[in-house]
Amino acid sequence: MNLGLFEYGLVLMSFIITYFATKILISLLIDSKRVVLDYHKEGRKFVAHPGGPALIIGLISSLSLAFVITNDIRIIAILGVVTISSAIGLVDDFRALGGRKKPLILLLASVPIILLGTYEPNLDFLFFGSVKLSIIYPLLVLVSIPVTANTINTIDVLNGVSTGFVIITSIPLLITLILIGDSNMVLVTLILISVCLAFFVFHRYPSKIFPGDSGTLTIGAMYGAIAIVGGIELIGVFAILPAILNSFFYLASMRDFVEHKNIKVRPTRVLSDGTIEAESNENAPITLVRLIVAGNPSKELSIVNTIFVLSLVSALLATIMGVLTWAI
Amino acid sequence: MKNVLDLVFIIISAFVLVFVIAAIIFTTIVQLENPFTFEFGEILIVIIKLITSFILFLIWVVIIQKMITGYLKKKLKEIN
Repeated sequence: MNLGLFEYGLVLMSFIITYFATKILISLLIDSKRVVLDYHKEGRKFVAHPGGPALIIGLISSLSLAFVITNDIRIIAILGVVTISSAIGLVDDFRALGGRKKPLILLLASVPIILLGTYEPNLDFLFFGSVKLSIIYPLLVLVSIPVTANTINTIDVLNGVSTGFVIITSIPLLITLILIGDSNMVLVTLILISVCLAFFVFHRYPSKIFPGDSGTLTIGAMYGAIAIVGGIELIGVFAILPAILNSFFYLASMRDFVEHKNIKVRPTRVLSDGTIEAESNENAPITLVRLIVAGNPSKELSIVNTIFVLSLVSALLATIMGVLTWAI
Repeated sequence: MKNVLDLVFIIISAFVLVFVIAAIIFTTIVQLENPFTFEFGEILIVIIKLITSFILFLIWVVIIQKMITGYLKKKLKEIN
């Protein structure tokens, strides 16, 4: 597996484009008063929103150039996923789509992968062997993009979490793809990491910009697309397990697709000094943040760091699984 | 970061459970050959596969739910 100077240049370019696009977007959003309240800060602090367009510009420009360099049809499929999910995210940012409608509309984002046939209908289970799923696999592809996109969207509740989480959990994908020797997918994964890293500079605690649904749905959908197109679906699923569990706890406790802003009892309370504590009301939804602060009221930065530690654990487990699957 | 070890335990348990249950569903149940020779055998085997997979998924749900609610109750009691 070899990446040339052009490819490394492209990764660097994706970082620079996203960095400056985010910087410009922050000024534009603040000037046009497109700001939202940062709930978890002392006093009333407002943050620029949505920052998704900066991530979208970085991803679409870099992926287009990556296709020109590699001529790999799989990159067109990923570009299609990114374009459709970002369009859905932008609509959601400016005109809320609702908790039930969003996952359904996101099914459209999976279509480029299915139409272009850029998947292998095989699943490799460590110790259990490989299975071919000719009939079920396209259905799994159809639901996996909405799942990964919504999963990253749901975990985006604190400063820097969504982009930081995607950076950490993309590492197992990167290592496994390097081992497999799929240089084009390595390039695409490096672009995702690089774009998220550039945005993270402004998104990390204390945030200067929030990605919004356009940002989180786009990076979540692209993450899922890389895992499917690269043939490392299971590694992708296991790496984002803390976020999947977060969505699962939330859905299981709410028993419906309810938007965060529409829930009656919030999972956590913010005290006047900015400390976040768990809601003791039994009707409050169960979320990862509520589990972290249960019996342990904490400041936002400490919770963010705990989420990163948990994602490092799942990323490590997924990496071990990827290496063993490749070795055996 | 007081709860981090408990949560790491939950993540690892969920990881192992998801892996084993998904592996059983996809490598064993989905791959089952049709043993029935009568007319609706094909439909029957699909129904059996679906029900068995769903039961295994429910087992995962119940185990994870029990772990989470138990953990949450214990932690919330600690401060009251």
